[in-house]
Amino acid sequence: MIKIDDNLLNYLFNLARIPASRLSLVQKQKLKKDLNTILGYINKLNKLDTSSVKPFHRPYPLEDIGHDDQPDPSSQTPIKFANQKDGYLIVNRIIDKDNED
Amino acid sequence: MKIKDIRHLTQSFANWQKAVKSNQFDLSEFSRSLVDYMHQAQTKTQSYITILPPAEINKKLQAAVKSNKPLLGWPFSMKDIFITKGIKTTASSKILQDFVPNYDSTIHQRLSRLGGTLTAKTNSDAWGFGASTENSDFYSSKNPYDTNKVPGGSSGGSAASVAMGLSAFDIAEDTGGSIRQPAAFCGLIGFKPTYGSISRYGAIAFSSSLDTVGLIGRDIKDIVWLFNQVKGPDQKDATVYPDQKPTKIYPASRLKAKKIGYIPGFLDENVQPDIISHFHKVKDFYTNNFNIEFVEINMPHFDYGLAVYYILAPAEASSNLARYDGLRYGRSRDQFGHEAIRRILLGNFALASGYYDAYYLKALKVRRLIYQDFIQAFKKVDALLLPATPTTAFDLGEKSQDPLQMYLNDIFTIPPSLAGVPGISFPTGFDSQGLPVSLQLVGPHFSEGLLAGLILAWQQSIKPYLNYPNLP
Repeated sequence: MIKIDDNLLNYLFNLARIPASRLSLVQKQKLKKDLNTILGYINKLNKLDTSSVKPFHRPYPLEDIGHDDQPDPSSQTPIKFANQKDGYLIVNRIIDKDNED
Repeated sequence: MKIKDIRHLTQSFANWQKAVKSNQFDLSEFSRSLVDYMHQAQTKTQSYITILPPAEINKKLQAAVKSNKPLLGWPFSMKDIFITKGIKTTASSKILQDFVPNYDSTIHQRLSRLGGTLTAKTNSDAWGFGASTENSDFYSSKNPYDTNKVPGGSSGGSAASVAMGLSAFDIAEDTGGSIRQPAAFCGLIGFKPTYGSISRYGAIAFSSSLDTVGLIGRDIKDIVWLFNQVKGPDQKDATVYPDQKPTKIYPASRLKAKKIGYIPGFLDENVQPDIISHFHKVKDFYTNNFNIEFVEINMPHFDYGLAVYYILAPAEASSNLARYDGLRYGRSRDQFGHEAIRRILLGNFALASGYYDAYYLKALKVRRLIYQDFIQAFKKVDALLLPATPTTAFDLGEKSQDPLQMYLNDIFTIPPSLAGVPGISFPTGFDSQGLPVSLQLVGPHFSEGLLAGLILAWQQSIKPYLNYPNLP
């Protein structure tokens, strides 16, 4: 049975693009414990022989739908963000002042 | 206006229509009173993310009545995962806490055109991840029948609002039980139609092969009427089934001698005794009144539903939530709540090279076995009667530290979701603590008319739509 250890946990954080460094050690330990409990439960699927079963994606086949291009009037409602000023979005500084040209 | 007058108007569309047509009340006074009661309720049950201002509600009501739109302004709420133009839409998450969309979901657009009046956006578990609303990034909602209990989830705020009589109905979404379970905990009808019935354009995506838009309400007749108005093809959603016929509720004469299946193994130690006794009460009702035969059905893979779900749903969620990259919506991914992070990591694990075959592919294969169980069952019976939940509403905090215990709460609602078949939870009375008890009817794809007929017959016998909690 696969166990999630610290290395695998960090790998998953990296895959998920979630900065692990922003979580406390206690939070990370809890996550690791929870994930292992869930995987322990999920392993019951191994009792079933599925070697001759095809995967199932959705209850019925999808059909592509299309429609003619029809111009719609542009939205007159501006998108609102909490962190906007003078039409710009304010984001956290990512370049240190020392590194500025 | 008094709360009993508000409740009379939201209880059924027939009540609303009669009162509006005969000018029995003042629309602006109604709007003010409704919003006052919603704010009053918010201090006790925290059901809402946004309550719209009374002037705005009144304006929409007046316009709908004046132009004689089909819904005549009947006031409804929506789970805050539906995109509403110009109205904050958060998915109960910090990442989207300031997001005001500049377009509308198809479901909101259709209801607006019909003359429905949106009054509030309701609280849920963030992104729909949970069964209690305790995973909302803002606050936990409370059950209006007992504020020490959860209202269920993820659509807990939705169910609480309808239960108090402050929404005539609520538009919500069910991925593994998010409509049926909170409706069950709050004594309402939780209507999850066949997967692909209603457009999901503008519904913030969780698990795309499972997410199903549906309704929470009091009266099955109104729910089916609304369902017929909002379902059907949408050029903006390729997953909507194209050839849907209007759903007609089966009359009592067509229920005679139908066969209903039940899974005997699931009526034992894991289910609260009150729910088992209600199961037998409903079974006897159908047998005695409609000569319906109850048949034991063997569904060998039903018990694997939860394990399959907790691979497939997080895998799809991890992909859907990748769009919140800290750029397009402004807030960084470390602001995901604990449950969201757990599911994103689990999804990434199941899809990662080296684990994909053993987890994701395995789950897809077992999903087919579960689907086949349902197909085989419906060759023998017309519908299945199941518990909606293993217990009635549980205590706040009781399961929030143990995700597996929380997940197990959806053990009866998940398998129908995996097969894409309709499931409707409906109230059967109260347990010894005074909390609502519900059961669930499940049928073949597009069998909502039969299920609704069975529920209507039961509804006429015990009139659960007359029940209200003491709040607000």
